[in-house]
Order: sequence, then C-alpha cells, then structure tokens
Amino acid sequence: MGKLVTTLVLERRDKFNRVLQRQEQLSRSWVRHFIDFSYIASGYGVNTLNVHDITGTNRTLNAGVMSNFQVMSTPGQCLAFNVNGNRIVGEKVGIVVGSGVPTVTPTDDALTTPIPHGMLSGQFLYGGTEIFGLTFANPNGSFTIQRYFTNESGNTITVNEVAIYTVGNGSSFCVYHDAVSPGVAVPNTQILVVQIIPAISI
Amino acid sequence: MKTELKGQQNLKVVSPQKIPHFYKNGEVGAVLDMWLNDTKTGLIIPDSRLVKKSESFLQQYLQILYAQMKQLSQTNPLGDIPISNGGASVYGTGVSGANWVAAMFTPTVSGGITALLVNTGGGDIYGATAHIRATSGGLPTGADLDTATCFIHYGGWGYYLFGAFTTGYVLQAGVTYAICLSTTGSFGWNYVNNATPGAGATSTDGGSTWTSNNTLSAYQIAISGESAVMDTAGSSRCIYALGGGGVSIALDVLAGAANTNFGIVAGTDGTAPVISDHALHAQIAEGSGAGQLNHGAVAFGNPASDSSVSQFTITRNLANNTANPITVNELGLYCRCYDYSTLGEVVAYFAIIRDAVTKTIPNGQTLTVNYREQVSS
Repeated sequence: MGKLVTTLVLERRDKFNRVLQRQEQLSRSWVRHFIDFSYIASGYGVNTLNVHDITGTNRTLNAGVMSNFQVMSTPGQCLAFNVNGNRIVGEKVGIVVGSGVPTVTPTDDALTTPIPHGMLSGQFLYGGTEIFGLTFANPNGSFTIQRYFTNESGNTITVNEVAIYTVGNGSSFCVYHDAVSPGVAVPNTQILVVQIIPAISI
Repeated sequence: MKTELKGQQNLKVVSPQKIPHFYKNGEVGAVLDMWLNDTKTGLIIPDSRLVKKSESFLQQYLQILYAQMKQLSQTNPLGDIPISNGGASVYGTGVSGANWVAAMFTPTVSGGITALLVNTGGGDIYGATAHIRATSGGLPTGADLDTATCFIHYGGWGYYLFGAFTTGYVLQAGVTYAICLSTTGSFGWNYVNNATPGAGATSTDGGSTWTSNNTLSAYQIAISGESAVMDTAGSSRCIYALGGGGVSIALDVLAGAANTNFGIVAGTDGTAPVISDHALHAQIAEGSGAGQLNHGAVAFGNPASDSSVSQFTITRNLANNTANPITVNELGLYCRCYDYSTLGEVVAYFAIIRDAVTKTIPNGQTLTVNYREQVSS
C-alpha cells in the first residue's frame, strides 16, 4: 500500500530465444540519484544539485539543462545523446549489467564492475532498452523496462549486478543498482533478457 | 537522519526530529508529515504532529514516470500509442461548407480518442472540425459521438493535429467508425503516397447523407493508451517529456503562494483513495472566506541520505484566516506537465498523491504539510 515496488527478472535464453532459466527477485535498490532527479523535476527552474555521474565526476543538474530520467536507449555503441559536446552511447543509458558482487548502498554512483558492450572476452552485445506494458487494474499499476544482452564473446559471462543509468546534462547517472543473487552465468551464444518492473499499489 | 523541514526556504529548520523509515529496501514511497502552528508566532502547537505513510502514488505518477523514462516527445506525439492507420489515393479531396469528407477506421484497442492527425493540402484547416460517428453499411450514420477542432500545424509537412475531444467517447475495438471532417473555410484532405486506399465517403449536405468514395484520405488516430493521462479537471491529456537538453517540467510541484492548481492541496472529502483518483474529491479553495485556506508557496527540503534511506521534502503552509475552524479530510500533491493535445506548449495539472487524513485547523492556525519522497536501499 502506498508505495512503488520493483521486480527484477532475468531470463537466460538460447540463440533461438527459448527460455532456459528464469530468475525473479524483489528489487532492493533505487538509489539516492533517483531522489535527486525527482527533486530536480519537482522544482522546475529553482532546484539545482551537484550530482556524481557514473564516473564519479560532480555534475550540476537543473531542470533547464537536463534531459531528465530518460531510460529508453539505443543499442551498444550507437549514439544516444550529444548534449553539451558530450557523446553518450547506448551502453551508458538504460539497463546495464556488471560482474561485480556489490554491497549496494544509497550513494552508489555506478556498477561495481560494468560489463561493456562488444564481442571481446567479458563483453555483451547490448540491445536497446525498451519501455512498454503500462497497465493499471485498481489497486495496482506497472510497466516494464527491458534489455537484451547477447553473449558472442566466446566465453561464459556471469552477471552479478544490474543498474539503470539515466541521462542529465550530457552525462549518465545511476538511479538504480541491484545485486543479482545468485549470479546468472550466460554461456557463449546465449542471451540474457533483463526486465525491471516498477509497480505501484494503493 | 534528521529532518530538514521549513515553512519557507528562508526560514530555519523547525522540526529536527528523526524521521521514521517506513519503507523496505527497494521501495519508493512518500511520508506525510504535518503539524499545526500559530499563524502569527509560528510556534508549533503541542501534540499536533502526525506522521504516516502516504496512501498513494496514484496512477498519474507512474504514467508520468513512464513518459519521462521513455521520453515521449512532442516531435512524435503519436509514436507510441496504438494507432489505426488510414490509407489514401486522392489528392486534396475537398472539404468546404456543406461538403464533408469521411474516412472509416476500425480501432484495434478500446479507448477514448486522444489525438487525430490528418494530412491536408492547405486551406483553412484552422476552421476544421472532426466528427466521430458510427457507421452503417460502410457509411457514416447518426449524430456525432465526439468532436474536436483543429488547433495546430504539426511538423511542417502538411499535417494538422486535432485534440481535446469533447465527450471522451470510448471507442470499442473491432467496431468501425467514421472520421468526418467539416470546415468553415476550405481545404483538401490529402493522400499519402504508397498508402493503401481506405474506405471513405463524401457528403454534400453537411453530413446528413453520404456517398461511398473509397479513395480517401490520410490520417492517424490515437486511441487513449500509454501516454493518455487524466488531469485534475478530469480531461484525458497526452503528456510529453522534453529531452535532448531542453527543459522539462514534469513532476513540477513548485507552486507559488495562492496557486491551487498544483503543489500540495487540501480538501474536505475523506473518501479512501483509489489508484484511479485524478483529483481531490472536494478541494478547498484559496482565500480567507468561509471554508477557504490561504496556500503558501511550496518549498523544498534538500535531498539527503543515510545508510539506507534517501529523501527530499516538499512543504506547504495552509493557513486558516477565516473566522471558523476548517477540517481537512484529504490531502494531495498535484504536479504540472506539458500537454500536446491543446494548443502549443501549455501545462496541464495532474494528481500524483492523494491521502485521506483528518486534521482540523482552528482559525488563526496554520497546517504545515510535508510530503517526503523516500527510497530505501
């Protein structure tokens, strides 16, 4: 009652998109920057904050210069934004995954050990982040954020953490960071589908 | 973590008490914290403080968050809504005076119409009206089910946008309806190259009788879907988020003094909230007349976090300057966003929180209301 609760779903699929493993857990962690972005959006023209981006660099955010809260993204290295001279590619926006085993705290700025986009060892091919399925049936409502990660690296990759990066003032910011427990091992040629499902109830 | 509560931004912190943690890890919610104080002295009335978990978010909160994350945009306002596409093959089928033109469509989802886009060859489109009618035998029939007027030239490619359909008629999936266009001036309803011709009709007597003409005309119609949000006045709006370095005012609650369109608002109806509430049930007006409250400017407490909770606070003072006590039975948080279904970049107001709570404000006292959005991680 009176809250937003989020479910994290990871599905491992073969190259024919058949589901081999499904793991579902209650999310534990929208982090401090979610509140920071809510604060900025709530005080248009007045509220300003210095916020760490995913590199730990302090960035000034206000409603006049931010493309706030965008999570839908382009794939991999496709240019998602070019704001204030900063180029942001798809793998820095939306759902992102990592191999680190984090102890999540409210002040996390990024994944512990990001898994980059690519086909080299330890890399996933990042699809675009999609947002869909907004539905309501009193007393509940929800939508789905989803991204495909394809392993063409030649080796198994284990995912132990998931995050959501959003965009503001030409930089990426972490608004969500969860530990995946247990980690999901994705063999070569297989696909990992990550869904994050925010839901409200009253 | 201690509170940082202020009646106004230039005031000192007035209640540095520890805030209860109401939410489990991973949950996002709001805490409602309020108390009475003497309007003249500002002194807090003893034992008047009430702290509780808010009963909301309402549906509109999730819809706005969705629009922001997805960046539903003004430049593609229909892009992510279920759309029925019409075909066309004739250039500039004439619409003028008693000469009406119709195109049939069959929606694939049920819902109200949130926007209609037509492709025209110029003329007096600004005097145009779109009439939605039932069909019989492939022709329009009966009275208007819904109407809208044209208000905006969109994108510079001959597209014109209708919106704000007046009755909110709910179309049924799989049923064929007619879009009938009339105008006080004249214009041509254009075709789109390579489009499949759609069923159409023309009328020369102001829409009373129709003749089949299956060579008509380009349109897109949006049925209320993911971006259609009910505003506080009960109208369905298509909101959009501005991106790419532009400004955004989604979730803006920063109302000035005496502005009751948004920010924290109060009412007298204590009916329990449901997710589809789009406004307070009986909002208290601004003023010092009987039954009214003076609404202060909205202020903020800055974001803060401890080892498990992050939060910020939205504050407003509601002063009873009447001669009698006023009992508040509901509180809400309204925000403003952009809406593209009316002319240009105008704002619309949306309820994102509604709580049933009872608090009597004696005359000469002020109710300080704080909504504290929290995440726990």
